[in-house]
Amino acid sequence: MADESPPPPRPLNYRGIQPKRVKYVPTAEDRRWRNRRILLRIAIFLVLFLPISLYFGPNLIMFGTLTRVSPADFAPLVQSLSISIVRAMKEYQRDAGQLPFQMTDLVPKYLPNAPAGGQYIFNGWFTQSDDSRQYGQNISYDFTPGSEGWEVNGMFLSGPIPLPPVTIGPATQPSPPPK
Amino acid sequence: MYCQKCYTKLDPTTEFPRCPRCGRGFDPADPGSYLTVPLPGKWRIILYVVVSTIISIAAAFFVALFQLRIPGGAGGH
Repeated sequence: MADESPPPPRPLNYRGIQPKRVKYVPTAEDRRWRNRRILLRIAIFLVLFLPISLYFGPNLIMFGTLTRVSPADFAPLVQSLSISIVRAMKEYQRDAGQLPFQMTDLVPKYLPNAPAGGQYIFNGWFTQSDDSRQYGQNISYDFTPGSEGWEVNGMFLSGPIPLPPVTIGPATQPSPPPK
Repeated sequence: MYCQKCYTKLDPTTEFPRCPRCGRGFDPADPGSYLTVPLPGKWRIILYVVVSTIISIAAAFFVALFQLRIPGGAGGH
């Protein structure tokens, strides 16, 4: 007598792909949903691509900040690199009655060492321009009374840096003008 | 009820439920095995976001490089 028990059920395995391809003709409804999926992909891409690639990314790469760089972002750089030089220049001006013509005028009396580079004195302005974080931005100090203060100028932004003018104390002893 | 892979409308009444287009199986009793609307599921959306973010970051490097190479920028110094 033959065994008439039914064959064992085939595993469902619904996460596996076992193609049983038939010619499928998409309906108009299928095409509408397909267009919606394409739009969804484009929307996700643009929502991420535009702000990251054109705004947040370049700002983060070039200036280390997610938002647009502002003159206030240069304040730490000024405080770490430039204030001591401008203070030395003002002390020179206090003693000599005029601003120094070059950086070497400040050494060694007002500065222990000449700056490594990138800082210049030109026509009564102090300028610093070669720091790798600035990307073409020049930090300047205007010694003109009335408009004295820090400025940043360049291709990305220009404007006053919100820092108070550098002040120095009065001379404690008379000093002959440097040669 | 739609296929998770190709978004084709599925028929849950067949004996061995499979997508008629790509052959992907599904379980009518398991909502995780099919889509209720023919739109990308959670993991596919996450994949889109990750891929888009990677492409955007790569593009950001090119944009930054381009800006720095504009004459007058740091690249020109």
